[in-house]
Amino acid sequence: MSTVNEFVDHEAIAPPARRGAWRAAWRSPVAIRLLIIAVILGAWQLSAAMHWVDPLFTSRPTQVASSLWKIVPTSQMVKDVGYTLAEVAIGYTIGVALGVIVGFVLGTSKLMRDACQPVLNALNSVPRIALVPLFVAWFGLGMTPRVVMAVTVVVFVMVTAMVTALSQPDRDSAMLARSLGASRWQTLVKFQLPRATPVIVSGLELSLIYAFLGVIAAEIVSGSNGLGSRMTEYANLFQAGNFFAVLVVLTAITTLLTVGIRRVERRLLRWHEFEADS
Amino acid sequence: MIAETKAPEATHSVMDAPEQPTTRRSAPAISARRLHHTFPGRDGRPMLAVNDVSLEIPYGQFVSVIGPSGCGKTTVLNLIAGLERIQSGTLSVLGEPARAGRPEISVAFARDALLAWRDAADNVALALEMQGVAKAERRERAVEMLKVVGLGDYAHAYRGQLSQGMRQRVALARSLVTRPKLLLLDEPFAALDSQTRVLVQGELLRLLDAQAEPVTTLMVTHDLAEAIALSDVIILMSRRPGTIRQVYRVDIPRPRDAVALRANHHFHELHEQIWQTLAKEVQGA
Repeated sequence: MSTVNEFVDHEAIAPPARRGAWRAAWRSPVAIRLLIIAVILGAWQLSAAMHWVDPLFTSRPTQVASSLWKIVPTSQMVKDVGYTLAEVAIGYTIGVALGVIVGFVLGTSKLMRDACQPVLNALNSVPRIALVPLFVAWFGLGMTPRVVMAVTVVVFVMVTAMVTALSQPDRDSAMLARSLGASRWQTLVKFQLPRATPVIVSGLELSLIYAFLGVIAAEIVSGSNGLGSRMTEYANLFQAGNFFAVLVVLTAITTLLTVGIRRVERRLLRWHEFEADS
Repeated sequence: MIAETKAPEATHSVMDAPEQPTTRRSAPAISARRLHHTFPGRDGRPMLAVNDVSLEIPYGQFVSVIGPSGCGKTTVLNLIAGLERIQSGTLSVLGEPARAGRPEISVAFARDALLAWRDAADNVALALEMQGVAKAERRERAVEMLKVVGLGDYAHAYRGQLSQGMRQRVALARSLVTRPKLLLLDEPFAALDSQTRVLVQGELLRLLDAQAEPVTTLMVTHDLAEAIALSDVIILMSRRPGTIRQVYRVDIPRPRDAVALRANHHFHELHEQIWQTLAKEVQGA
């Protein structure tokens, strides 16, 4: 505010409270977010309307909206969502369980870490999607190859999270534990695990996204059930509107689940927020 | 430890504590003979950190070890705490070989080492938890101890919600809540600003004076004023490899007031006298 401004009659221009409220609203993260989304959707719609791009391939927001309206209530959609969610749930559970066990061993033993980490890194760099045809040959066209695919991705995410969480050096609390006479078990349960929890929980969250990634990727490549297979079908039929509609449904599901996990996480890890603030 | 809790309420200052009649008490609380300690150096060659340190600390005394950084004073403390394995020499602590995790010994570190996921009271209770004290009792004793260090209103606060000075006071409460016979302090005030430091020092003096049984305390510090304010005896260590250079007796009567003490002329005389030697060690002359 320059001093000149103080001589201007604000009341004459607009009621100050309202002006302040408007400015605050425009500066809010939500307003900026909505604006960015509106610009992207607007550009998309405009490009299609002006035929800068071919709407047959790109569709346009209004068409995606009407596709959503049409396909969401169908029994096919309900079936696909159920199928995909079941695969994700099974793949996630198995992958997390395996990852937690392996990650625990590697995270608590430097010897095992040094022995196994290079092998795991090599395995993790295998392009998993290329294995889907093999999984199909092994397990057929049902849920199994998709679940296996999700497991092969999630395991590594979870192992990495566990190793990061458990192997972070904390000399201070290690010394404290020893000076207080903590047993090995007490050291693990009272000192190491609670400290590792935030990283483990963010691993759980990331694993969920990767479970979807693995399942959808496998669905796109093989089989005829699930949201990924539906997307392949619509793409092959040049129904871009339906394709994007499925994508929107998928994104909505993963976002809802992630937000849910974050809510639980915030409840459980109140102390972690205080740490971040301090 | 449980029996100890019924000790009489009478308070003794550390200085005028009566001689204990038991024969055990006539032996020193800490007795170290010819301690040497070597660490693997950064260049692969072994580095001698502690060189021929012998000391005897009687029960109930407050002894400070002071010296330039890296002089091995923390290593000496860690040896006594049982956190570092003895390589050469003999060491007896409260009549037994040094060992970590003894309930009658408390260690406080330079950094507070509070557990971020526990509130202040549960951090204090941690020490009791490791000794198997029942849940209700340890929480109660922890809250009581927090009141003593002036943090009665912060029992539910997490580490992230406490200032540095408050955290250090919680750590102090954690080391005192078990009513230890021996208190080992490794630069417990190093993380505090100079004003908070004097306040918390005063707190510690008051706490030690208020203990039913005199507490033997060994404190490592590089702050000379702090050493004088708190101690009965100051041990000055040389530069690395650390050896004992000089022992000073602090004849300032107790109970002491950590703030008023700074105006005491004897305090300044001692400070001047010890500083001469310390400065030489720090500068490497």
